[in-house]
Amino acid sequence: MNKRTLTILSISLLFFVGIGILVVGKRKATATPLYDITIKEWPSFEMIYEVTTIDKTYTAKLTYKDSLHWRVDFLTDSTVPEAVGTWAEYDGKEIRSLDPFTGEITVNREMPSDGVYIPNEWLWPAYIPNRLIKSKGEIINESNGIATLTFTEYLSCDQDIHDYLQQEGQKPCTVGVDRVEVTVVKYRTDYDIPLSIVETIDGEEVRRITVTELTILD
Amino acid sequence: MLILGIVLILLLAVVQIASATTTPQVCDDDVKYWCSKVTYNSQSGSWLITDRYYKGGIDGGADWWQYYWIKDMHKINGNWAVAETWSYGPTHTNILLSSWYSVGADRLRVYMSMVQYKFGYYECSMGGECGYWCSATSQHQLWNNVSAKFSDGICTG
Repeated sequence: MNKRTLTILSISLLFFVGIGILVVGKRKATATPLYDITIKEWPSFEMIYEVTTIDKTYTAKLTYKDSLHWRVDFLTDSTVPEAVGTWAEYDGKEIRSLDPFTGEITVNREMPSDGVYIPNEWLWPAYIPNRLIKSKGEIINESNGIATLTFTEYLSCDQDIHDYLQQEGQKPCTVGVDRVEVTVVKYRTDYDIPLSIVETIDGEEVRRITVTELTILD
Repeated sequence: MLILGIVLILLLAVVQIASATTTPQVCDDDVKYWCSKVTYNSQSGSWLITDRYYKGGIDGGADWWQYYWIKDMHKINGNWAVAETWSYGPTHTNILLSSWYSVGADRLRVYMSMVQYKFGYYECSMGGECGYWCSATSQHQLWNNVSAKFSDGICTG
């Protein structure tokens, strides 16, 4: 291998290394989040929340010690009276719950995958960061320790969904045309704990979650 | 005689087909995540469950979903009991609430019977923490063909 070949090889190597650094750098730059996505550890708290949908209302109490220790009690239910008094508690290993029909306590030990059981989709510390990043949410207001986040999803409409909405007395969607769901979440910025969630589809409210009591215990 | 027998058998088959019933469908509040329904035939005071249907989808929330359990329940001597359970269905990542899936096999159940469903959802954060939550329990009562849902969010047994 002569000197000229070595020089060409060295220049080529430097060129490709340089291109590689540029590409990786650009990827990192585009992945930079617009918002702080740090997942905040939730403190111990007690929360009573009310969920109102088109056809029912129920209330529940969440007693949250940490991500591995929590309990939910269902306090009221407007359509299934047997559900009142149902509870479930998690100790990091298993969920014990009262079956409202058999009256038996059941134990679920098996986690289907790595991770932890959470009380609901919106009741875990990653909910707000995930909606900001994964759902491309926007913070539209922030003052006095309360922020408002909104995000939009496009939901399908087929004949089954059309018929179901009609069966439920709701405005049926147009088959083949996506429904537009807008979710507005108010939350405490110190811990990213949601305080209210309102979901509307094509302008009509379908679900409202309201935290009626929140007591931080830590 | 043979013809009469064939006619009777055909009549019975027609009656069976005619009595096939599907419960009202139940879906999550947004009709975004899941739906369920049950098909059954009434047979002189009992019910032949032929299909336990479910379908689902995800959009902006879970990374994947599955049925967590599906239970046939019946009331014996005034007490509810679980007749049979199917747990941890296959995982799905489809976005559309597209095709119906059927679970279990044909089962003859007593008069006061119902089928309950619970679906499980799995989501990870950007930081790598992952959470698993469940749908409301959807319930399809066969004796009066009424469907309902309750206990949203918790992965109860």
